[in-house]
Amino acid sequence: MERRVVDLGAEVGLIWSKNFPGKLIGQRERHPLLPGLEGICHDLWAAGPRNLVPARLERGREGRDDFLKIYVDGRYALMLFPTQDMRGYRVGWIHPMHFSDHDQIVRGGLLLRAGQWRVYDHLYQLHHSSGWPAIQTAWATGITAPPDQEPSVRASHIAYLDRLATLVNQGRRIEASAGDASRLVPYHRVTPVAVTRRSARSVHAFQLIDANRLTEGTRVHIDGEPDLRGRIERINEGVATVRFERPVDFGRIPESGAFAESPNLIAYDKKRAAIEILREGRARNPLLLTALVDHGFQSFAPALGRRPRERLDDSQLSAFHKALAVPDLALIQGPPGTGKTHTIRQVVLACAEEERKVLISSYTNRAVDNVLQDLPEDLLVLRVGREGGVTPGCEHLMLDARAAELQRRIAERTEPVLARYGAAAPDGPADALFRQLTEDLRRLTDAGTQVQRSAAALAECDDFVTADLRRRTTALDEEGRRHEELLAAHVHAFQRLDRALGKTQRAAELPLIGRFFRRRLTRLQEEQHATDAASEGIRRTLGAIASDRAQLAAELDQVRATHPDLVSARQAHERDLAVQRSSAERAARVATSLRELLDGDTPEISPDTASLAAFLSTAGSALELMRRRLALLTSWRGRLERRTEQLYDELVRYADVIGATCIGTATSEHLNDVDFDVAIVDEAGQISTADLLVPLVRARRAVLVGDHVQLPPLPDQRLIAWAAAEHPGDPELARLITDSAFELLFPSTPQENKELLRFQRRMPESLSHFISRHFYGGLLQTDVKRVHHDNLFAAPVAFVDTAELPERERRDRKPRANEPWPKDSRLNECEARLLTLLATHYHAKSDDWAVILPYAAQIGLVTSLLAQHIGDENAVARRVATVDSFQGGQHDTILFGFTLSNPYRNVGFLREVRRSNVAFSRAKQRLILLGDLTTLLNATDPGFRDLAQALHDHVRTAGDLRGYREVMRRLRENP
Amino acid sequence: MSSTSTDTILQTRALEHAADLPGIRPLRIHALAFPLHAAELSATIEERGPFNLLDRYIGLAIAEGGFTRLQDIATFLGVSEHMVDRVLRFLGGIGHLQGSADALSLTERGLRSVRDDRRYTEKQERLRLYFDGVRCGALRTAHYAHSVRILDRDAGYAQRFYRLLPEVCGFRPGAVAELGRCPDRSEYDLPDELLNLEVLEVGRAFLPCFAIRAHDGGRLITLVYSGVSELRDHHLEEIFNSWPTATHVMESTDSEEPRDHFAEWMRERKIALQALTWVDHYSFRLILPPSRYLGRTAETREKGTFSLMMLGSYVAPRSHVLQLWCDDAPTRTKAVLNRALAYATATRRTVPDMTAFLERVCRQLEPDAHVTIDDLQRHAREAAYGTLDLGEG
Repeated sequence: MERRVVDLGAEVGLIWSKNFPGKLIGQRERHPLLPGLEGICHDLWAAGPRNLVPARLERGREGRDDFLKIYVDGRYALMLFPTQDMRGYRVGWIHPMHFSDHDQIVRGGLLLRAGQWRVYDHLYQLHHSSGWPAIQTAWATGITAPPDQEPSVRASHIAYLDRLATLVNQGRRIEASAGDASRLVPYHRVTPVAVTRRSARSVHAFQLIDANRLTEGTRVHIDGEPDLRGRIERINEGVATVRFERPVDFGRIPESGAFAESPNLIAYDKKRAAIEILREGRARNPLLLTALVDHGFQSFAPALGRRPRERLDDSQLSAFHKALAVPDLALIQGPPGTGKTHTIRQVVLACAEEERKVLISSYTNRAVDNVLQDLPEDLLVLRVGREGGVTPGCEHLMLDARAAELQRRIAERTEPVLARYGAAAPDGPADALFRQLTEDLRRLTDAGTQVQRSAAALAECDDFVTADLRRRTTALDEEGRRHEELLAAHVHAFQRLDRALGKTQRAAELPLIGRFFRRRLTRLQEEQHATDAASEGIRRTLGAIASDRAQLAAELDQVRATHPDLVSARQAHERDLAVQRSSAERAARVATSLRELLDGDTPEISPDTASLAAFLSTAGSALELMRRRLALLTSWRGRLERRTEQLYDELVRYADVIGATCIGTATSEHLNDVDFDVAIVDEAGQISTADLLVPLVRARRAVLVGDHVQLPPLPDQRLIAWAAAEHPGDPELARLITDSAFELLFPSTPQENKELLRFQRRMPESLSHFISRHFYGGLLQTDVKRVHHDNLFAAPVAFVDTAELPERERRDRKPRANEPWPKDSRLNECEARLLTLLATHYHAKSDDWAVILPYAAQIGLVTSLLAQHIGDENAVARRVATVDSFQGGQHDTILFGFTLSNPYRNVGFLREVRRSNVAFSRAKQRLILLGDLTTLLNATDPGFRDLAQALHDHVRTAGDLRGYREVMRRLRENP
Repeated sequence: MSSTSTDTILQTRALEHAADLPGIRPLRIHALAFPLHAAELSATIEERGPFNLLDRYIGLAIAEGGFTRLQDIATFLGVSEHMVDRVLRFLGGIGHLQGSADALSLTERGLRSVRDDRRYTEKQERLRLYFDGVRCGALRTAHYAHSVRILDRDAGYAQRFYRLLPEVCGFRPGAVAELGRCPDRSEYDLPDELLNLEVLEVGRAFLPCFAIRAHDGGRLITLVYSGVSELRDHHLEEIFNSWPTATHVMESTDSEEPRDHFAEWMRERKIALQALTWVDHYSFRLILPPSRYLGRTAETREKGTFSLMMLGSYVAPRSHVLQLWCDDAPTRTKAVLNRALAYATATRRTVPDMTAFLERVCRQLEPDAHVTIDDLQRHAREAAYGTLDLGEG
């Protein structure tokens, strides 16, 4: 209960009740900490408008009125009784607060706010409202129980999951009880065997005592050793080759023993786990349950801006845009020949471009591989699954094959890299060159030192030999310098006299005083002559000095050139210089060679010590790095020499696309933590909900591609029987067994979340028209031109009616006791004969043909007849089969024999008209149907009757309806 | 065992523990639900896992091989650039890599991972921490032990055994950050490895505890027991004793007259008020004749009689503590022996265990002579238990 705030207005007025002062005295004796009257007044005043006062409404006992209990200052409680006029309260009792009071306040109560709490002496002094009614109302409202919390999982979801879990558990029980423990197949010898091994799983051969009791593909374990489990890969001449599920210690396998059939419970366990993942809210797609159960989808905008790598038609493009953006679940219905695989591939490629990991899943290995096999090589595509289950075209995508391929490629690619770094290995060429360069550089340094030494010796010798000449030269230089100075002084004096002469000459020309200056003029002229003469003398002396100096210089050169000591010293020095130069050039050559072997940038090389030393230092670091890289590469290659599962998780992590069957997504431990952006489930029209959930809980969103108008899931008939017996009133439960999740969802899925691929490019238009009108509401259009060439039939859709034959000839029958076919099957001999001739006819034309038949016995009969005509029974067997073998496939000529012809008009399996849709729509050029129209058109099953009628109308108007005998005759005449 | 009977046992254990403390006489006991803030936090933590091959060698190519460009790494390891790009993105995503495609380098975590050959990754962690509702301080690690029961809001409100106490302050938003900075944060159940703490949600919770008012020979004190390993919760006691709301209630009950509370309880058990005797100025004993102490089980006992095992122990009618007593020393000796025998046979005990136990019980029950292990062995044989198999310890 929450604490509610009640506003009591500007003031709450109180008066002491008559007995209160006395009671207070008594209480204070027992509880000395309680305040007196004044203290109470003060505490109430202090509560003021700011503090909320905790309070509770207490029920009056024994018919007394309710009253208010307020808790003051966390210390004591006051009992307040509203006055009759509702203008205030009488204070009736006080007690100290105990822990029980605090407990009550915490558990719930009221918080009272008033402008002030004031105690008056008299009743008439109370003017304000007590607020008592508001308190009573708040109390009554507050004590109601809080609303229940929203349940975390909705009831409808729980019911849905419970229903699925019931089915899976029952299916598991049926499977577990199906194995007959007493049905042991003994063997008396076990031998190692030579087979293709794709992993470390053990494969051994067992000599069976009764080989007929086991069939290839059966899951078995060795009796008494349930973990020694595997699958019978082949049985040949009484020897069964068993591929175990894991490596097995050979010593554990009894030399003679027995096999027991192992019920395959893994699928049920994985389905159950997926249901629990959903139940616990751990599914990566949080919107999945809402979509599946409530048919609630989140709105979204299709990725209209994305362009597929290859061309798509309008409906494919729309599906492409939706698939890329849908946040929860999208459904794409792909009628025959509309290119759903092509559309899926474009979606995959677009996801890969955005680095969104895709899970491709389906119920069968074949459907998964059909999507994977043509994906481009630039995608990392992985196929996860059981060895032997994956189709041969996709074996190279298996995890172990991919890992081995990667290892091989790495070994190849790193070979040259290893050779390059091998140069840096101790004693490798780069290492040798480096050591050589180090040595050369040391020699170069020594040579430099020697050059310096010989230069010094030469200088010393020169000093000694030329000492006198140089002293004399110095003296001459000194003398010359002194005379230069003297000459300068005389020149200066001459110039000064010259200026004085000019002035005096002008003064001497003056009248009167000129006489005096004329004398001075004479004297000055004499002085100037003397100075000029002295200067001339000095110049001559300087000339002599220069001449002497030149003579001395020539003498010095002569001495230096010829003195034997000096000549010898100079020659020694020049020899040293030459040695230095050649050392530098040699080191530079070594450095250049080394440089070519090194990784990374190195400085320019020139034949000088500084440059080479700088290079050597850089080369040392580069070599060190190369050695580290060499060690690393060697270790890397070493790790990849053998099969290593260490790569598996990484391959899975970095894969663009991973393909696995529905159950396979849960059985591979490598996929446990993989976060898929989208799960694309192909052939979803054949997958029941429980199977579909296994991949769907592993991806953030899902795209289901399928066609619920083609083959439905193949349910366990025992489970259907159980549901009918145990849950007769639960049609939803039954539909979860028989119908695909696609079919259950499609009608209620909003248009934004689904797309019908509308343009087929397989069937001739006439056939497509029939298929479209009968199965797709006329929405399927043809985008292919097929020109009809056939010398037997005039139109692409032909019907050969056996009704003209006598009933005993045309009737179907059960296999006889001596015939090797299943005894509960049906066969029709007249149809078989004609089919054989027709198939032989088209085989002779090298045509691409197939015979689709509804019954195993008829298949057996036609196969054996055809083998006599054509020869290769295996080739015939691949072309004569039920429609299940041809889902997704196409052939130029499809021959379809209805087989059933009887007066009961019972059409058996044929009543599932979706099988007819698949069978008819395999044809690229022509569809030739063979049957008894009297039976077919009058079939008791209304769905089939409608189909037969529509087909009849179609062949009459747009096809070619022929009688049995006529066709037979033409074939005999013109085989 | 119902939660209430468990709680009663816890209450008795707390009382016995307090009474056994030197000089302590328990007077009152209150079962309280101490207010807490339960903070749900998100944090990051470094997890270690095995390295895969490509991840490790691409890390090594950067760290040891000195490569800094995607293309060079691809060439060196012989792996496609596409694959190297994927791995680099992954390594970047787990915080091992930094820099652009042409200047790659490993982060400190990346380097450590490569060095240790362990992939260290940051993981999101969720945890719950408790803060007291009085000062908003964190509870200590001992409070997170299994033995300590903490009630969430609904469980607290649903029970009536413990009185709920109000919180004084709301949760302080900075409390977690402050705790995160504390050097001794591991003492508060917050290991250093948890980083980037963020408060996601704060709810109310309660820590059940027992507040025992006791006299220590000189003054009245309050001891608090919450189930932490050493029983007495010093941390909570310190908060409690500095919390005016709590101390006020404790002090106001000091002056209460215990007889008022015992009277009805005693009347129900047909015990005369005279049986109540002051031991000292504060505490009582309920002195009953030997006939009131029977060896029978609770189901077969008459009202007003007690199991001999209870002689000397404490009962707390309406929170006030009194000790069940008998003036007859042989009866008390018998009670010592019965209790010791029950203790010795409950699980395998050693001689030192038994010696300590006998000393404690003798101190409580004051038998006429000190009871030894030999006495106990004799008693066991008489009670058809044979010889007790006591380890040497």
